[in-house]
Amino acid sequence: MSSSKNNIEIANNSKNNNLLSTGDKSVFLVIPAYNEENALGNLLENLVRFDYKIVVVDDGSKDETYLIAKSIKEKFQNNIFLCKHLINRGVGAATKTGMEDALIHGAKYIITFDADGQHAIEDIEKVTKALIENRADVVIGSRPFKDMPFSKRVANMIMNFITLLFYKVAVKDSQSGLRGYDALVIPKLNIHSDGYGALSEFTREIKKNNLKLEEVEITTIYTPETQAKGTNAIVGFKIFVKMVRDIFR
Amino acid sequence: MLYQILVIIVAIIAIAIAFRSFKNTRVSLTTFILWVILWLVLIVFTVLPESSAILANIFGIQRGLDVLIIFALIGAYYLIFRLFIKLEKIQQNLTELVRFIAIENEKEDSLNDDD
Repeated sequence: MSSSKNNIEIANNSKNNNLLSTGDKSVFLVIPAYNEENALGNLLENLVRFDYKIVVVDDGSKDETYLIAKSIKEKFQNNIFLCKHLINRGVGAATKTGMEDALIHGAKYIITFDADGQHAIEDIEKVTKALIENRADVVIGSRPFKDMPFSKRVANMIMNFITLLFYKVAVKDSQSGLRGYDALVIPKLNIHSDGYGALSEFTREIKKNNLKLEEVEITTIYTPETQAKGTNAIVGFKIFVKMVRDIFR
Repeated sequence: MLYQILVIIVAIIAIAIAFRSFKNTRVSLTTFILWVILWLVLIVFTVLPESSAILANIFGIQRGLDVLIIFALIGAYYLIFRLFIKLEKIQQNLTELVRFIAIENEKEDSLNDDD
């Protein structure tokens, strides 16, 4: 009990200095990274300044992602944990690995964060706050569609519709990578999909376990790197096929 | 007739190969038995073509060969389905394994850091 009171105090404190971290040592960021040598270094350097604990999962990258993460970990050994998938298994699998590792190190709140630098660091606090103040078990940081390039907007709208159709959950952004979870709910989540489909599966599990969901609006930084990955039409189609197959499981 | 002789020869070779694989423990007993049954059935239908007509009659299909093709298709689709499920299972196991190794190594790393 005292710890949750503590958390609220911390959350209140952080209201005053908006850009500082919540200071809560049990907030873990999980960052799945696949071929992110360009963005990851910068991102990690920025994140450790906010004193977050960070689990980076290198998902079998073919570039220098792992070495970059490792060199930064050497500088901030107490804040960064580095997992390496020997073989690329997809963003869903990497996220799950990161979550399990975060739980081992005593995470109370787990925030997933994309490695490509598309999220604003200040948004982490928005997501965390809803968890710490106990307003939600799961928080989805939804990217406003008006900010998206047209192709992404269409793909994400289709994904939202499919998520609604198959999992009966209406969310503003079913494919957002910035999400927060209360660590207690993580073991309840049953995720089969290794790829981007896992994001929709997380949404399904929220409904199935009757979890309190809150959606907070976040900003998205679109650069050429962040445009190249994520939900495009082909990924969308693959997720769709996977969802159809899951029905026959 | 030539095709009957050919089918029988192919079937015998196929069974022989299956038997060798089974002896070398490359395939399981179930797979081996299924494989042998499949080829024996094929030999029966080749040597006694009328038998497929009987089967066709039972199912209300006009020609014996049609019955064989229909069953062959259904069988093939079933096999593909089974493979699909198996493959998915293997994918999941692989992910589990990769995850286990990743987390074990990470745990070891952070223990070393603490020293």
